[in-house]
Amino acid sequence: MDKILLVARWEFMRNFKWKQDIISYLVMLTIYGAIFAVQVWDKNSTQKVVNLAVIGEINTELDNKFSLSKLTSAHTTEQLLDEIENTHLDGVLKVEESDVYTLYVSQQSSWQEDLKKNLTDAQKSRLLQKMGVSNEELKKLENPITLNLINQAEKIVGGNVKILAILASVLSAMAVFSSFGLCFTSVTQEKQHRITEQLLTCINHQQWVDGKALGLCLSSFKSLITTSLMMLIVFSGISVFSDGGQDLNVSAAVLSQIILFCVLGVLFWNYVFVGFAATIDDPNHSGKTGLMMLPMVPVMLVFIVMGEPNGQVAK
Amino acid sequence: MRLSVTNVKKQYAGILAVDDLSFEVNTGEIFALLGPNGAGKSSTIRMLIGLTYPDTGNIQFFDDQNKTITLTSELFGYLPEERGLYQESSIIDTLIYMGQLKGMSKSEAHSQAEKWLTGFDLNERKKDQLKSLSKGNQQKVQLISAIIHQPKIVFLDEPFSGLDPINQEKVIQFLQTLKQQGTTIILSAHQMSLVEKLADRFLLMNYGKAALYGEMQEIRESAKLGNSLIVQFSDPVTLDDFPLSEQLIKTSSLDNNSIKFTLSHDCRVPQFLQTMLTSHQIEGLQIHQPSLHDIYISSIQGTHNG
Repeated sequence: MDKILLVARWEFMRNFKWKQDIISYLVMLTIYGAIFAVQVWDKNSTQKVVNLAVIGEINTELDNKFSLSKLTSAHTTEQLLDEIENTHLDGVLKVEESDVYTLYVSQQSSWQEDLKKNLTDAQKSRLLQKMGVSNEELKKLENPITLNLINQAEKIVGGNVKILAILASVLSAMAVFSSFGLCFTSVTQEKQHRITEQLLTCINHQQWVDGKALGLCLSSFKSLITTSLMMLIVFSGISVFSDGGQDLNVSAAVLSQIILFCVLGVLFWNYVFVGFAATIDDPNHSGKTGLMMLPMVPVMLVFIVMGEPNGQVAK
Repeated sequence: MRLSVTNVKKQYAGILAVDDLSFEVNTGEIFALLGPNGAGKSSTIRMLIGLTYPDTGNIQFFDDQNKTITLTSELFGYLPEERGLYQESSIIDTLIYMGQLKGMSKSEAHSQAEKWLTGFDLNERKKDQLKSLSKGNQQKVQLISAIIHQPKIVFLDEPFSGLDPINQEKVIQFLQTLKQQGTTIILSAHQMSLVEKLADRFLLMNYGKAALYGEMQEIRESAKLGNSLIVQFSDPVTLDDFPLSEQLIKTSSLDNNSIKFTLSHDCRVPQFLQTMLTSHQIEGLQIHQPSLHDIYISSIQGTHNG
């Protein structure tokens, strides 16, 4: 057992490059941060007031950010576009009919969608008023019934178990595939470099396979934990600036079952990988490498079973 | 530690790699396995250390009290023919790991690794990755990894390959140090002059069989190769002055009025010289016994096509 743990520790530590890992995660966080910062900056720096010239009558109250003025001097498209080009105008809105508009702009911008929404909402209100339908009645029309789902399974396992299960499956698959790469480099390269021959003068085959698989599992778990932490940091960052995230309402028993599922899955697949890799002499010219994609099968099955827990696949 | 190999045979995919091989290696001696490529040396070593098993025959190891023992990983060290260690790992970490696998404690492995690295002038580079070392220095690290746990017996497959003469000399000193410590050494090599200087006994293999076996003198006698003489004459001579006979196998002319005579195995040097002195005056004389290289060439030549 000592030698198995020795091989496992060596295998893990050999692949555990903490400096590179920290640098890599810091780079990733910086990139996430930069993307997020750019989005926030872009949102905040969007033009506050949109100067719109209107041709025709607009019987609608728009948001304050739209500053409207009348335009009568230009008529052709070219003239309108010239007007935008040569003045402080952001666009010209031509009222064709009460529900048909044409917007002339020099370039695309997010306020154009806002304008469309403003006009749509105003038109909708007008129509509802005309038909004598209140906003409450409209809501009723849109959602005529309320179906309250009392799910016994959710009571037992918690409301957000499905999200957690998907996360666990995806993370486990990521962990397994990350050790898949390590498995090739450690097992087949060791064979090619004749290190295995030396190791087998010190330990037996079983100890070698056990040590390798355990070491790779540790690498998988490390990748699983660090990726989860990364996701947690990123989602926490996002939730601070958004409406707030959902609480994961999951029972401790289910959480421990999910963790056990991940651990056993990672263990199982690492043993399978080491077993396959041990039969491969040259990974570049082996027909067996395709078999390494086998873990995709249970990942697909997991998603089918989650959608239909009592379906044929689950049975 | 002593070892005895009796009538061992090993076949791979229908090819007989080792054929009825028997030999013994005594405690504390350096034993050389010689032979051309494919002669069965590496196959023999791999069977000795238990990586493969003989199809028939016996391999037995004996302790200092001459009792049969099982060869465990703590007792032996092995340097494979095709080298390789963890290229991306540090030298010291790799050596400690190999030592621990062979039953040493971490601190013990660390101190032994430092001791041997110092001996090979590599201690200053102990934290470097193995791949940053030259091939020769990597080979030294590999050698240290084979003996770090102070085994009773070591098996070295081609320990001199890829080394420059200075490093070859260092490895010789290293092996002599091991021998002085009582370690039994079994090595295979192609560098005949080095092996002749180093080994106590030899086994020349050819096509999986023992062709010659014993101490240098014994294999000289078994090889039936005569001595050669380089004679410098006072007067001008030609090769025609020395017709070939049963005792004089070959003559060749050298510079400075000298001739090289290759004598037959049963030709006695004093009698040959006495005959020569009756008709010629000699200024200088060198007598050469057949070297390991000569014996090797003469034993193998003609049996191989390439």
